[in-house]
Amino acid sequence: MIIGFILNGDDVSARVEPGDRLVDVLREQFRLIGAKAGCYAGRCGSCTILLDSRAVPSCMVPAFAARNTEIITIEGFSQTVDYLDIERGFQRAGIETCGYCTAAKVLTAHALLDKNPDPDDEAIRAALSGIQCRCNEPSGLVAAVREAAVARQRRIYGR
Amino acid sequence: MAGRLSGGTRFIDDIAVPGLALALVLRADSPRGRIKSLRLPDLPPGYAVVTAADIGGTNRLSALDASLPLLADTEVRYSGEPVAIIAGPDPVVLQKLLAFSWVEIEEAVPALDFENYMNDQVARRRSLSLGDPKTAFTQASSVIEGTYRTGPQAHCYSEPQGAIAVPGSGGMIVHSSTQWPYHVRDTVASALGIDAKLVVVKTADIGMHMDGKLWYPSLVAAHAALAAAKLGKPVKLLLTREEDFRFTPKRAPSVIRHRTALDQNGDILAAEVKILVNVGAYGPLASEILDRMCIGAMGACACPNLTVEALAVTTNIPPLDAFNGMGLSQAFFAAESQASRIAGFARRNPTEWKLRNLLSKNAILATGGSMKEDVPAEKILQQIASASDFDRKYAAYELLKNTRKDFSDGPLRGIGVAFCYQGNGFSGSGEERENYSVELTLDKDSKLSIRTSANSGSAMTVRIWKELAGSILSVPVDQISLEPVSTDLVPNSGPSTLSRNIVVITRLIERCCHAIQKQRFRDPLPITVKRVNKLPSALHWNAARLSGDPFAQYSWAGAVVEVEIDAVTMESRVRHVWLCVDGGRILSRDRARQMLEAGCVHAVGWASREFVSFVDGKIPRDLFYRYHELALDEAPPVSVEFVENDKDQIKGLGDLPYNCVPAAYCAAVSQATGGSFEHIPLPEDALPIHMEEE
Amino acid sequence: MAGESVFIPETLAEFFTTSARLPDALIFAGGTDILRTQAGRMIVFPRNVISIREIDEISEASRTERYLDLGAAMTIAEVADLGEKVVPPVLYETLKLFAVPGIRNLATVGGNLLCTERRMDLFVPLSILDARVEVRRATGSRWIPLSRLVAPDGRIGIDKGEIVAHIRIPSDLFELNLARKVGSHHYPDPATGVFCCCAKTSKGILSDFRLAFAGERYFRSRDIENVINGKNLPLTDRDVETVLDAYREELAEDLGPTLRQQFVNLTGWALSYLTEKGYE
Ligand code: FES
Ligand code: FES
Repeated sequence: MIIGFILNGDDVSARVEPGDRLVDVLREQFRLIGAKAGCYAGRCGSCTILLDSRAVPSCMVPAFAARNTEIITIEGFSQTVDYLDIERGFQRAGIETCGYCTAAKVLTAHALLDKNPDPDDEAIRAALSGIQCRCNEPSGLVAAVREAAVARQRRIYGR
Repeated sequence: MAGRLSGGTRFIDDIAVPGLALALVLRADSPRGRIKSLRLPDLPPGYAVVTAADIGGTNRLSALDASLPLLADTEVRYSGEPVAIIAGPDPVVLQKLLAFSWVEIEEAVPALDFENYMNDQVARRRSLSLGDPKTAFTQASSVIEGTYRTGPQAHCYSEPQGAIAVPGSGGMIVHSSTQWPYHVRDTVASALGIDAKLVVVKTADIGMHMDGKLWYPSLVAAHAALAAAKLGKPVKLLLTREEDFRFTPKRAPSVIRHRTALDQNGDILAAEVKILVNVGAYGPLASEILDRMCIGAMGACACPNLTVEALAVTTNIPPLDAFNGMGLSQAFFAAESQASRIAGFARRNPTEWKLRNLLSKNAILATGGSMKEDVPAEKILQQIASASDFDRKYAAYELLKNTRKDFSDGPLRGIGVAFCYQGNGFSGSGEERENYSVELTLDKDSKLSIRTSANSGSAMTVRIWKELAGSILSVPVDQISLEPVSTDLVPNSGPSTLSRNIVVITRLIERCCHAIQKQRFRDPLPITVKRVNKLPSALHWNAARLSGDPFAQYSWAGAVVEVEIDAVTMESRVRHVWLCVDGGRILSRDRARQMLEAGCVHAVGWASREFVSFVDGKIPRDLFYRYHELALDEAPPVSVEFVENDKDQIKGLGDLPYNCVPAAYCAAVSQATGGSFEHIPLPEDALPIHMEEE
Repeated sequence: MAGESVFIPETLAEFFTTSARLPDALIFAGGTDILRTQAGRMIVFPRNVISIREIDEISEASRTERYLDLGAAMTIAEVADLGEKVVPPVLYETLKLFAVPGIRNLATVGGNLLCTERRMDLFVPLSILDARVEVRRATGSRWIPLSRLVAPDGRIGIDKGEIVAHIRIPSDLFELNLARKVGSHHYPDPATGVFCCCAKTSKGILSDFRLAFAGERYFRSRDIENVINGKNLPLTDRDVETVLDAYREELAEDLGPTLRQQFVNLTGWALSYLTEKGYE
């Protein structure tokens, strides 16, 4: 079947099979490789994207379910000003991860800040709890999101 | 290219190659037997199958200690052993072809038990003896015994195992996610029966490998290359996470028995340690692991009279081998748990007991060599005890345990401490027996390039290398580049394990830099220098007898773990982990802290809930859905502190948490529950059942 | 795999037409329960799939003074977003303990209730809140209690051509609201269990006590609840022991030793709020 959706701001369409997962369609048909196909079971979070502004594991979304939705991947998100806040936060905290699930963390952090501009540590840990990753250094990651929140508040409200 | 943060990565699955076909592995579904027949469906055009019979070169992969077939030929030794590779363009069609393929096996009785092993399961035997344990045992005022078990652990590395093979002009280019590119090259060349120079291995991003990408990537690469050769097209073979979880190597599990003879004060007179390690099928790294377990049999305790007997046992389950802290982490868990038990028996504060019984400078090691470094035990233990308020809590929790009635008294608490070292630059049997090297060039425009096949996976290690070279040669860090790893461009630097990279590779880079520094005022640029690794001459090592000085250097750590057990649900939670480290010269404390914090979380995971089991020789499918690392909202807070003992040496320290945190965790749980838990991971319902019996 | 088709109706009317034609089609909402145990590259679906994600009529919440209506295709996150003031406390607490955020953004209320393998998280709070379910068919609708939606043996109480449209939660006020989860919080596992308890008091009397637990088994006993309803507060130690014994006995064969012990402890803990040493 052919489905249409908005991908990183553009109207696109894709020919998909019922059994296709959104993550594979994004990686293969659109060459958007920031989301990784890890566990295919909703457990690792490395395939996270934004679907109608919510962070979801794209392996758990059959491609047909993306019809009429708006999808943002890290490739699109990294072109936005919102991204710069998160980038600043991660840089400030000085965390170095391997990149496998980093995009997932960036998008999840953004989705959190979108709803809760000033999250406490507990909220940050909970928001990122779906990303299973050997690179996680918990306190660094929490600090990164906190810094990102500060950066965003500064940008929007001039501190 | 985009940065890592914005998705700019180059893992195997990210590499685009035009006309790329895919491959799947047909696996045996029986732990042991003879292959009677192989039934394969008719292949549509553009598809190919590779079996053992199709292998033009040698159907063998040699790891450090054993060799194994690339594709099982007549005999099957574990469920999940690769038998054939099916390759072609369409994943859906491939999946169907695989579903219709079948390996018929005449089953034999598998050897699944390693504790009650048969003689033909023994892959390696090692023993050590020191002093006169026999006499010492007769003089003992008491003898304490304990049996400690450690379980397998899944690496959960960033990307599952995978490779891409691209055939061309008589040779093969292989993209591999490996810690050991030259091993991939040699394995692929021998599989294809071509000269090693015709194979070029380029490394992909590897991410966190947890020492799980030492030799297995060579097997996957050989499979991809064989399929690519047969198909005449580039082939990608990427295991699914589930396949990887169920069929690739895991941390080798162990059973270690300690008998310790004590004097009237409860201090160690002598010890007897019996070690069994399960190395699964083939035991590719059997002696690498076993040797380390022997060396670390007493942990960091001094013991003048000692016997160690150790066996590596093969079983008909997937190969079991390296994981961060390989060998030493299992040995330390047992030794430090025994130490806690002794301290408890002797009614002594555990830190005070340790201080009297730990190694010190010039002490004789289990291998007969001597400790050449200062042992910062006192500094570390004092610092960590005060950071964690250990003494007060330890006493308070002992008291609480005896007075509490029910859940209205609040949660149960316990605290435990352990001490360990990480041995860096193992002189051992395998790692350093070849001439591994590193090459540096200082260009005309004073740019420095470093060439090594070490695939560190860690931006931190790379930074350390650059900063070190920069400081010796006064070259700004941004003028230093690390050549991308490709076997036609960089020399063979050996396997990059966590404990080796820093020491061996860093030392080689340092030596190259000094050599360039000497030449640069005599000779015109560019100057290229290559240095080959050799053991420091002060160290004596006899690999066959396992005697002498096993490690080039040591880093040290102490851990305190505090746990809390919910009195209502009986679930345990780690309240805090304190780690205090002496890791020599530390270039960036922030980075080191982050790495150690992650290590502490993985170590708590191993000790508490990363549970792998084998049923009929294989990991049941549902376990894949139940296995998980500690999530971010479950990870305990970790405090890392440093003491600096040796300010000059850069040391490896990434393994330290695995060597001390698990024993401290078990000691804490034991105190909290009043039980004695001697095996990790603690079985899921161990606590409730134990507490119900109370 | 070839020959699978997916239908995506946008209204209930369209849904009924399609499902009349394809009575055996799989109804797909959030998909998390179908996908979570399929770790292969391709998802395996039955021949026909009807996705109900785009039907607005069952994706919204509404509220009156007497009840809160949840659309069955609302996601867990959407329900949580209604906020603490709107969602009854036991339900709200359970939502917070539900899986991980990414899954909460996909999983739907209806899908969670209709899992046949076991009673999942939401079943417990909704059951003790006495929620009722609206089952629609082309010609009308009927309201059934949760216990009729899914029987203890996992049998689903709706027929072909029917769909769960709404879940209606009465707006009762309880003084005591407790929700806990044991075992793996993030992913369903045989060791996972959800426990909820609510209680109302009036004039020093325990007037309405409700308690349920779902692990490998779902468990609620109105008989036992009735034993302590009407007792004077605070409860005496004897009251508590009687109730605990009753639960222990009921559960003897129903649960594994760990979950049983956890359930009994949780019950004791919940009851302790109503005793003298009380927590309130
Ligand atoms: S690949 Fe989607 S959660 Fe793991
Ligand atoms: S960023 Fe997740 S494994 Fe590296």
